[in-house]
Amino acid sequence: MRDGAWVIAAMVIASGCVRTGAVGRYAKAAGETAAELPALAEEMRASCVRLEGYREARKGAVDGERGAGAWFARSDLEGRCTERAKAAKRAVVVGRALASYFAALGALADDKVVKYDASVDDLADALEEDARLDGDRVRAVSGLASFAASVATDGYRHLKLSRVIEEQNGNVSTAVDALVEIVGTDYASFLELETTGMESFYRSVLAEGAAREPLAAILVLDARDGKAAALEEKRAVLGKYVKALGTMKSGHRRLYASRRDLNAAVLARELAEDATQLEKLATALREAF
Amino acid sequence: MPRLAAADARAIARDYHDIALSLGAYRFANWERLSPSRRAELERLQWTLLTYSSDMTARAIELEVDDLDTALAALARAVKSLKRAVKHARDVRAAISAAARAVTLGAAIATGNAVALAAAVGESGS
Repeated sequence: MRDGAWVIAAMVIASGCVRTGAVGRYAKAAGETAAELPALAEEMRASCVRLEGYREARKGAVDGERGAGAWFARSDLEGRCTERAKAAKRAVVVGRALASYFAALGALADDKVVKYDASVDDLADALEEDARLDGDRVRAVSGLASFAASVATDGYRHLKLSRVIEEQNGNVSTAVDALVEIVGTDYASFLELETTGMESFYRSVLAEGAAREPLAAILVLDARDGKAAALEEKRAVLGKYVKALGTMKSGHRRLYASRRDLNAAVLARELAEDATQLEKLATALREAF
Repeated sequence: MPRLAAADARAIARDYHDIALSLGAYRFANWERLSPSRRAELERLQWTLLTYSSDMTARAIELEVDDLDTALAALARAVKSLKRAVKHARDVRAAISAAARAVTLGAAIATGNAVALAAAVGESGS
């Protein structure tokens, strides 16, 4: 009877560890994705500096102040991007709030019972090997003791997790939706503005000098193609970030829907899929920035 | 004066950008017919509109984040609460761990001899 209880206890502990671990893994991946926002926000500012660079390079032709392509310091352009820099900083605040939330959620969901069990097992080993006691009896008692510990802490953690998830689901949704707008609409607009500025710059330069300097025109077109390709890559990254935000939101919605049973096998499976997707996207984002 | 909404700021930014695009398209379509000074004027206007569009989009971001004040404050409170919970769970775990050791030693007392018990106590204390 006692041995049977120990076997059941061990099975419950083992299954609990795996499934709560899925919540922790999802939260960690979501937090890491949110933490990539500062790099993206810096890109928003950098895009403004590039746009101002095109404008500055056209200044000679437009204002007659100096020749097109004349030298200018990047620092001169930074001052023209203060509005953009300010907005980017505000966006970072949202990313940080989400990153902190998911990190804290992950810390609580992360299962440390395994570590605890090991310490009890060490004691059981010492009793069995050094004192040559009845192994079955010692194992049964230590197994039940660790089961009691896991039930107490798991119960508390699950209660707390489910309460926080319930309370914060709306806020997480609102914050993620705002980031989708900021990244998917506003950052996309910044890239469109840069594209318009870049196209205007190269097209103007070609219209003014291609007939006079056809070989230089070929190089200018090559440079333009390179810039266009770089912007296309940034759009692809933007798309990945928006996708990651969608996964972050749907994962939290899953947690909310299953908040009364965070050990549910279906939840664990779906969260594992979300986490895998987020981990891949986070890696791609890190490489892109 | 009513407060501008983020969606309104985005719509205005989009309009500025569209006008800038139209000016550019007109300038290139009529390049030969326009005088250099007229082209320069159109280009200057185009760059100005791009800047307006950029600033208005930046404003949209700020308005969007302004609207999140309540949600962000709630998330910050949740983070504090979760951190307290992690600490509490660790404290509980430590207390139960100590109790579990006592229970396990109880089994030793019930089944073992004094020498073996002393060895077990020494091991668990290390």
